[in-house]
Amino acid sequence: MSKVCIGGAGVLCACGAGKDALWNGLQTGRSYFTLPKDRVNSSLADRYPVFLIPSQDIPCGPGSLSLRYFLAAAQEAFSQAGVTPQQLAQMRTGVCVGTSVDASFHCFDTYSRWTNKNCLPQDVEIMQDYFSSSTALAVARRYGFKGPVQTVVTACASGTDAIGLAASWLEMGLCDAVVCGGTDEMNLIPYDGFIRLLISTKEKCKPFSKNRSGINIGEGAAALLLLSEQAARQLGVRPAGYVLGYGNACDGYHPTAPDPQGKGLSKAISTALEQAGLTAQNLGFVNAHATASQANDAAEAFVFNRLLPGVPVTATKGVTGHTLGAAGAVEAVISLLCLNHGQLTPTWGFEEEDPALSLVPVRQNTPLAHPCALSCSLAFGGCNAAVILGAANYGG
Amino acid sequence: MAAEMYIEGIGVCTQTPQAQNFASWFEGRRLRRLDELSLKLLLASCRALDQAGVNMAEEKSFGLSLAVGAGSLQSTCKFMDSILQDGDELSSPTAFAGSVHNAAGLCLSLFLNLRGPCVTTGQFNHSFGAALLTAQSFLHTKQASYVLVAAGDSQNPVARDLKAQSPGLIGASAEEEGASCAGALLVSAKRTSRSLAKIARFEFSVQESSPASGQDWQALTAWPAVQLSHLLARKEKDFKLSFVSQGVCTLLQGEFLYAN
Repeated sequence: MSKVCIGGAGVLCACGAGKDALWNGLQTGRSYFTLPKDRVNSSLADRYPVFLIPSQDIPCGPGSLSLRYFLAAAQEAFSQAGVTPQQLAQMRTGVCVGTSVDASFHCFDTYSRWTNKNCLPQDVEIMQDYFSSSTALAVARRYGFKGPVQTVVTACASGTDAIGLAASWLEMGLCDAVVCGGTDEMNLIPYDGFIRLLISTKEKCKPFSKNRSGINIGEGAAALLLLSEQAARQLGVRPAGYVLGYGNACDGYHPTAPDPQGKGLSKAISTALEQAGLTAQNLGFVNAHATASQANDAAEAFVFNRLLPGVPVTATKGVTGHTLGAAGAVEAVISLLCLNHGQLTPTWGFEEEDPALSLVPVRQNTPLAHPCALSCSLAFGGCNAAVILGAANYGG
Repeated sequence: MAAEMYIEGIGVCTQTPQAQNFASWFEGRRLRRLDELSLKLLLASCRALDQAGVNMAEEKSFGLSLAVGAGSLQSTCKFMDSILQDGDELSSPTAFAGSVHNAAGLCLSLFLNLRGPCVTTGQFNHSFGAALLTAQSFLHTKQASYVLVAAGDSQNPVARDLKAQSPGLIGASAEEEGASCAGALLVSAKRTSRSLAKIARFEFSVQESSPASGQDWQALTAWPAVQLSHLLARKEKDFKLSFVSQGVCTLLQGEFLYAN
């Protein structure tokens, strides 16, 4: 894969609204971790905490929360690049967004009324909104972009896939620019669903720890503005980083658990490295999916120990929560921040080494040895995705 | 620009499959837990791979690109039913796992022994174009030599009922022709001795900024695969499929390769 420029990036999550706030949160471990009683109408909401975007950071405006989160992140990406959506609308600009909730039929109240044969007039409007809520198309319409649009719904790997696919559109010459990333909002269905799968925990999650007890779901969005090198030159954009490689492979193993030996993940990482023309020795670090579930962390540790020996591992869901379809994009932006600051931040939530994993993630601010990083995601359905990012000074 | 693609196999499923439809490939009991969307996608995919002469039992690094429209509404509704009937604390984890858009991806990768890249697209009636674009990406970046593009959708029961009050409500596809179809194409970057058709031109992009009219639901998720299947059966020489849905245009143009 040729180098794809990252013109700018934006983010909104429980750990911060914007990259500066997020970087600060990554240093201090501060984040908004709370019981979602005001946001989720579930009898479980007084027991299982989540990572939420604080109310003062929730963007106003029309559209679903997921759409508003993504637009806020995209705006930050445009600002960093120093371009306007109007400029991008004059180019071949596509939109590729990963999500889970925003593409799902999660109109629970309407559905409940329908089952009781008691629909209200507003339910027609709710259904109409749902059917016109295709995330990527909504973003393209907001900005007048006329390139390809894709809403990726590969569960928790969606954000990483969206970045990788967007990069391939530039590589194929289909677009000059692509706004990509992921977004997801808190919702009753995944909230109850993960608890009922016995994957959620009542504690704050502890990635890679011996005493890890499960995941905390979260919400958030992250956006990257990807540009071809020619478009970056034309717009006068100084790249904030690069997408160097992307790989994806499925396990074909289990609906909700990864292959214990991480066969699909290994293949996805190998493909991404191959596309980037790199080896494990070239990586400054790997940003793990690390949900803090028993199965996920064990599979990742197995793969990292075998494929990436000696490469520092970090995990960030201890401050962001598992933002589902947004996770891969949020973690890509975090990786980019680490690359451009030249240091890794602590793995918040990690407490005690698990001898069964033979993996200790970074526990304190750590300088980086190399200006490129791997960020990977694992998803329900056995999908695995990996993306390799380079710092702004990569190859320079 | 991206290169042309070749179609190696086309499969269609027009009705809810029964166990006997799978008799050539799988034991019926293996199919018991699959929801309707997964069953339809699986049958269409089996037929496409069969036509392409692919051994179903062998593990293969084929890519898989799924277009699921609104996703598995059967499982989603089942999960919501379980919350309504049994409460949050006893809601069905199995239904939740099946409600994830990517659940059908697992089904196909498991049953068809696919271990290559897999991406699912869910954007209602303009999902197919994005799924074919993903296939093109997998081929271009050499993540796979063959990609199975499987497309299907579910009927939304609430929209179906509310359509009586609001005829313009999109997604109420119960009575639309082809709404219950699934289709699958096996595509490759290189022509083979079994290639059925060449896609010489493929475009997928936003064409205009007007909001959804609500009148364009005929562009169903599996429609292009179903149309290609019909045209192939009629021994047409070439094809040009073009439709605009919610302002997103999908165009496929090419020729059939009957010499093979």
